[in-house]
Amino acid sequence: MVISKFSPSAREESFSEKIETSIVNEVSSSENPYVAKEVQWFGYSLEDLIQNCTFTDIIHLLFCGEIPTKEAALSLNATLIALANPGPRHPAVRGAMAAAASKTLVAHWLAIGLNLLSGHENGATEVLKSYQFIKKHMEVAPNETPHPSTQNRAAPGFGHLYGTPEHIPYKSAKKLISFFSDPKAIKWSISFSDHIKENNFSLLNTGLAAAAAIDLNLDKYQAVGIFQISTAIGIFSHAKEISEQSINSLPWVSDENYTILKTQSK
Amino acid sequence: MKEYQPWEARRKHITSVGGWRQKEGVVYNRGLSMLHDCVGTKSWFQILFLNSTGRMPERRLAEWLEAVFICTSWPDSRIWCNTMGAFGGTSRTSSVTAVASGLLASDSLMYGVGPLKLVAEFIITLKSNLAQGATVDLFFEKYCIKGEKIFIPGFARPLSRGDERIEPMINVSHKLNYKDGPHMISAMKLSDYSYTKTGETINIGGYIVAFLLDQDFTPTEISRLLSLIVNGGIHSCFSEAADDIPNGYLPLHCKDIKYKGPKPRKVTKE
Repeated sequence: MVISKFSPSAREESFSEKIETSIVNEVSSSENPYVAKEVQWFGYSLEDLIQNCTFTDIIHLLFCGEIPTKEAALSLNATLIALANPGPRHPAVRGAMAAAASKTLVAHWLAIGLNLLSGHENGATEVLKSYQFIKKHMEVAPNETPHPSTQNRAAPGFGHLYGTPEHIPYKSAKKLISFFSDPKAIKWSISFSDHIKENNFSLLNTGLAAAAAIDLNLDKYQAVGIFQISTAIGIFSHAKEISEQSINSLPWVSDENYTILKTQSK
Repeated sequence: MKEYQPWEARRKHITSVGGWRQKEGVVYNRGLSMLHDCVGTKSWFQILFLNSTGRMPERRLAEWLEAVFICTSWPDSRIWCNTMGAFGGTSRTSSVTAVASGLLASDSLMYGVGPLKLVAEFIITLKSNLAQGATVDLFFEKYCIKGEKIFIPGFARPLSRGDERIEPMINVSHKLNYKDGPHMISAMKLSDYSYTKTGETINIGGYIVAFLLDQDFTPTEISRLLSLIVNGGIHSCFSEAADDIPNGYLPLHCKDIKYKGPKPRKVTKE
C-alpha cells in the first residue's frame, strides 16, 4: 500500500468504557447478569412510580430528573394536550393515515408520522428554530424584535400555513397562560403574534410548543421531544381509525386532475 | 385574489414532471417513457440523477456516482448509521426499518449526508475567494478558524486523519476521463495547505461535493442526490445481526451501564 497524505492515521482519542446515565439504574439478578431484578428511574422504583404517578409526572421525571410540583405537572399536562393532535390535514398525520390505509405494518405508522413531523415547515425542526428565536428575543419588546420575514414566516414558529393567520395555536396559547406561574415566553409569543398579524402572520403550533417549553424550563432539544411525544397521540389515533378501512377510503386523484408536464430532462 | 388562492389551485390537482397513465400503460418522467426509453438502456444511477436533479447525465457520471456509493458505505457496524442496521437486525425489525433508521442516522451534523449542503456552500465560497485573488493562507485564517478551533466543512473526519477513500475516487475520476475543475482545484489547494498546517486533509464528502460542483450541480441538488450514500453497509449489518441470535449484537450486562443518578428514594407528592 502506497502511503500518501490521504492515508488514514488514527487519532489519539479515548472512548468511554461504559455508557453512563443518571436516568436508569438496573440491579441485576443473581442468576443472570443480563436480567434486572429491580429498576429505578432517578432513584424511584418503578413500582412506586406506577403506584403514585401520572404519565405526565413520568415525562417530567425522565426529562428533568424530578417529579413535578403540582403546578409544573398541570402546566406540562396542559401543554401536552394543546399539542396532542394537529389533525388529519397535517402532512405527518396524513402520511401515517396513508400508510395505515395502504396496509403498512402497524409498527411503522407512528415512526412514519414522526419522520414527517420533522420538518422546517410546521414540524420539529421549526420548534427547535422557534425556541432559539424566542429565547433570543423574549427580553425585547415584540414590536422592536427584528425578524427575518420570508414569504410565509415572520420568524420560525410565527407565520402562516395557508395565507392568513392561524387561530387555534393563538387561542391555545391564551388558554395555557393560566396553567403557568410565569408564562413569560408564551405571553411574549402572543404579543409578537399580535404585532405581526397585519402581515397575515400569527403564532403557529411550532411556536407554541417552543414557547411552552421555555416556560417549562426545558431546553431546545426537550422542546422538540415534547412536541413529538404529544403529537404522537394524534398521529397514531388517526392512523388507527383509518386502518380498518380499504385503500379506497383515501381520495385518489384522477388522471384528469393529474397533469404530466412534458418537460425534457436538462 | 384571496390569500389562500395558491393552495386552492392545488387542492384537487397535481402537476408533476412524471406519472403513470394507466390507460396508456405508460409511465412518464420528464418527457421520457420510463418503460420504453429508460428500462434496459439507462442505469439506476442515471435515473437517480434524473429524479434528484432533473438532469439525465451521461453514463460515465452515473458510473462515477456508483463508485461513490461503494466508497461511502462499508459493512462495519461500529459506524453509527450501520449500527442502526445491526440494532434492527438484533431486535428483528424488518430490513426496511433498519435501513430507513440507518439512513436517518446519517442525517447528522457530524458525518454522512447531513453536512453536504454546508460543504458545498463552503467550497463555492473557497473557489470564489481564490478566483478573486485571495491566497489559501488568508482564506484559511478568515474562514477556517472559529475561535480557538479549526473548522473546515468537508475536511477532517471522526476517528482518523486522512481519508483512504480519496485516492480510489481520484483514480475512478481519471479512468472516466474527468479532469479537475475549479472547485476541485481550489479544494485540493486548501487540502494541501491544511495538511501542512494541521495534518488534516479533505474528506470523501468534500471530494464528492467539489467534483459535483464542477459538474454544475447546486448544493441543494447535491444533498438530494446523495441522500442514500450510506445505504450499502446498513444492509450488510442488518443481515448479519438478523441472522445471529436475538439481542446478540453487543449485549449489555446491567452493570455495563454506569449509573450516576440519585440514590434510591420514595415518591412524595405535594
